[in-house]
Amino acid sequence: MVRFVLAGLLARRQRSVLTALAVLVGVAMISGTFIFTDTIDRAFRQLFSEASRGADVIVSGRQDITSAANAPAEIPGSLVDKIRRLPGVRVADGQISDVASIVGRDGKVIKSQGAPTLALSYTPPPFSGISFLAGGPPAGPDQVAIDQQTAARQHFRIGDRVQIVTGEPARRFRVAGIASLGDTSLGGATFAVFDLATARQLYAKQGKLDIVYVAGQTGVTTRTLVGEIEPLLSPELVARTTGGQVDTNVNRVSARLGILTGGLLAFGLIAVLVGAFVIFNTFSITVTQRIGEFALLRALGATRAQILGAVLAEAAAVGALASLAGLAAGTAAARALRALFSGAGFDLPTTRLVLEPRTVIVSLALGVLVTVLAGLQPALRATRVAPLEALRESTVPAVQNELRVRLLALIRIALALVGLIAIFTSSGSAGAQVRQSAIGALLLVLAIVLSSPLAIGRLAAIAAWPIARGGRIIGTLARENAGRNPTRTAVSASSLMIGLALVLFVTVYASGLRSSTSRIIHQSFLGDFTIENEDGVSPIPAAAARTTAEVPGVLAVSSLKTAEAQLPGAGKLTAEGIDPNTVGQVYKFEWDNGSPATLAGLGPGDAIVERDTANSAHLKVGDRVRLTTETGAGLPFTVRGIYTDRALLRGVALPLFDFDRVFHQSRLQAVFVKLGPGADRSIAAAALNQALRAYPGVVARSERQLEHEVAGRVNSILVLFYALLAMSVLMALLGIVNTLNLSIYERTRELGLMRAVGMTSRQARELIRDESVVTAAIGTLVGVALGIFLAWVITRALASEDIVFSLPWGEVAIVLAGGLASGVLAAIPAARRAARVDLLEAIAHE
Amino acid sequence: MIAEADGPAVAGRDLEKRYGEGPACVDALRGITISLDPRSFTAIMGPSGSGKSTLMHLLAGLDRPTAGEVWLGPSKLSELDDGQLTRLRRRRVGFVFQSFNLLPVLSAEENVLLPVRIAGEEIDRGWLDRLMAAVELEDRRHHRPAELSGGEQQRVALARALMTRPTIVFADEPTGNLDSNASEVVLSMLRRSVDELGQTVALVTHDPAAAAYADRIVFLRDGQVVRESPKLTAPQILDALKALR
Repeated sequence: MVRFVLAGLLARRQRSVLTALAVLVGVAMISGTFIFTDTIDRAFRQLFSEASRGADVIVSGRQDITSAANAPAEIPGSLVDKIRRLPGVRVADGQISDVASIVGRDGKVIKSQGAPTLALSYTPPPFSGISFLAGGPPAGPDQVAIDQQTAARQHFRIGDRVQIVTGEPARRFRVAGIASLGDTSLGGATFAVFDLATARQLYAKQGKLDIVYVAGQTGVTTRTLVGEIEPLLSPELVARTTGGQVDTNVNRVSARLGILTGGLLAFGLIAVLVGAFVIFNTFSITVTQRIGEFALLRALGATRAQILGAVLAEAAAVGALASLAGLAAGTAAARALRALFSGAGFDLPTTRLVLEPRTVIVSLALGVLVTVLAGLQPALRATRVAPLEALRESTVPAVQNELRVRLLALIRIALALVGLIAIFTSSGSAGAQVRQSAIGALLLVLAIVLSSPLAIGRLAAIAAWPIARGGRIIGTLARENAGRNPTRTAVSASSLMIGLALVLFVTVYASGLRSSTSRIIHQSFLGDFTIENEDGVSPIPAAAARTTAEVPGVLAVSSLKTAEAQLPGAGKLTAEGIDPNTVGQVYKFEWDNGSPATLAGLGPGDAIVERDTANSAHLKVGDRVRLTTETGAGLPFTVRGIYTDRALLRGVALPLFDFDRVFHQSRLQAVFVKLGPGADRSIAAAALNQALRAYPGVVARSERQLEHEVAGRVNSILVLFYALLAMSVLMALLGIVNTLNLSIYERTRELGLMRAVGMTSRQARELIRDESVVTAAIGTLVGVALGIFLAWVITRALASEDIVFSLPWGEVAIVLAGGLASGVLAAIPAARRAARVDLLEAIAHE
Repeated sequence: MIAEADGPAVAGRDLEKRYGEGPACVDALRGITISLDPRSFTAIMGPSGSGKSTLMHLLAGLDRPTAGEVWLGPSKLSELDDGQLTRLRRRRVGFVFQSFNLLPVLSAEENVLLPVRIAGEEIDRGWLDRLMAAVELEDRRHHRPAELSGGEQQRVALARALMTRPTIVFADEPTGNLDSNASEVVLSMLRRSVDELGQTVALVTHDPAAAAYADRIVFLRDGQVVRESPKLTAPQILDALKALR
């Protein structure tokens, strides 16, 4: 039987290759995701390990130091001396770690999203995480060492003067050294190294430190060392072994990468699902074509179990080979993902590609499992072939169990109903609504896929109407042929449907996101300009606010700081530091309970809360609660007002004077600018940008520019999604190609007959093309409708977030046209084959 | 009625057909000259491998001879390219094959109309009705092939072959898959198409009973015409065939 399986595989090489390809793409996406994220993870681990080389124990703030938005608690400089006096300590030294942007030769800040731009102070040996490839450590207020990657990209050499934005306006420093952190690629990250005194001065951290590195005496365990240091620390500080510190940092990064991994895996699984459809169709057709063969085997004495085993073994063999190939392709996929993210503006650090055993196991298991599962139904069908069938002329056996048909219909209806109910009864918070709607949508899609074979006839009639109208023969034949094997056509169309539905879903959703953002900006922003980082996300130096205020024509500036915090009942949220005196001039509060007077009356220990947060924490005006920072510091406050906001001021807003007491965030998230009456906006804009030239990377944006910026960010993520979904769509097309090709084999005689009675080879080609287009059109129409529906469902669930449902007609038209065009493309190989059918062979009787 | 031209409906001259090359080649036809008159019913007979199907393929323009000429009415087939040949076939040649004559997705009537529709020509409803009546399938017009008996399917095929009023109808073992009753019905309909509609018919068969319906019988052996005869009875044909071996 094994020999039979292998012989079968080789004999149907082309089919096997196509099946394998369907498995390969999905597996490559899955393994590529793992390799990609594992590599980033490893790169971060290497970076963190390198940075702390030479240290046994590290003292730092409890806070997340990997996030630019959160500045860790500062360490008093005196702590280092106390630590040095401990018996187990050999050396201890402190470091400043902050944010610095290096300005490139083109005058623009070197930056990419998601990558840190670090400022570090130099620590002498043995803490030699930073190694110098050229020059040496910086010394004095004018010197800097920059990372080797930046130096190479920007052609900076020792002695060059380079502009750097620190906590102060941009300044020029002389390059004293070119440095590296191990051999890890930093991705888009950069770092600038100053001497300790300079760094303290640049960041206004006189007498303070961010990190203390400690090396123990020989023979002193790190645990003992930590034990000695701990009593010296304030509650905001923590001492960890170097390994522990690296783990902590890596885990923080991994948590964020987890979202990325999850998202990418979801796209991979969609590709696997579409691949399963393709495999199912291929095996179904193959089994049909081999009925004679199975019947012969049965006649010769093979048991049903042996037939089942043979077909499944073939599936497993194809699955295993394809998964191995997919795993190999995974490395290419990982590189492609990296390029993709780079293209979307997310330049992540990297190192040599990491292949974990988990990647191998998951990829192989998934590939084999999916192939075998997809081949199960066809394999079972093969076992039902009666031995006598070998003697008859082979036809498709129509084994339809009445009970099973009813049961299936019932399941479909139940799925659809439960799905719809889930969608329309979803309630509660936006998150819960989305979750429930998503489950409902999933059930609905399942119901659609399962019932599509029943509707194929009608759908084909609709899709083929333009080509079959008035009884045009080619179109009529195409329609009839598409509806002739409903399951096969349905599976082909469904695979395309899923891909296109998702394309449309993200398109419509993104369009809703764009229009809702512009609406929010329009409604709540009263100011004329927003001063923010070019990337719209990272904080900016606080000095920029002072600079802005001095620009002529500016009536008011209001600064905003943000930090992560926790509130009982609401969990993790964003805390905003606002200036109660000025915020009312630039931002229009939508008060649920409160008034502009509330704002004016905000004193120490007062705060206002956004409605969603108030709801989840069950807060009302007058309540007293405690906000906890990431460092564990607490800030009790009284709720003075409740307002509604969808985007800008989420969570809790408290006066800056309170904010600064607990959060060590020296940088600003944004500065809002209001011009005086009669001020010329374009003159003011020019003046603002002129003043901000001291802060490269900081820009003034008008309302329109803000909208444009947000739209641009949404679009670059959209492109990423498109690229990932393209794999699924491509595979669906491959499925249509495959199904058409195989059906040409099945219909050789039919094509021969048509050619004999006068169909030209061109008409034969046209017929196959039309069939393909009808199938693609069914998938496209249902996919587009489904995608729009799903987007509507999700936007409905997100109504409280003010995401509106808006249909981008242009994009819908493009997807429709693309879907139909894909049908034409998919038909090319089969149409060519149909046109070349050997007439005599086709009509020759056996 | 069937359009008629002067001279033979179909003629082949010095037809040779060789398959393959070198020592393994097979000479299927070794110089056959044949002419089928309008309104004639000719049976082409011979044992398996005698070349009767090959001859039919050449005369019908389904295949090209290695040497020799085929004339279909006034058209010399060797001068036509594949597209012209296809168009000629759909207008001037009708086919009834042994099996698989009909498209399963089309109804009986749609199958009959297939060549006309493929050609994009006007449908002659009167002629369609007359043909459906002639093959006695008026009440089964909208049935699909799977719902028809083997005999009925062959009658649909015959109606289709006649639908374009072709110069000639080729029937290649049309009763090969039928029982004797159904065979008789189909053959007598072929006969009537000659007598009543003025159709020219060439019947390729190895069944003496079928050949007995023809006006003229051409016997082939080893790719050559070995005997021609006017109408014979089935036993006479059987004897003639025995004499060939």
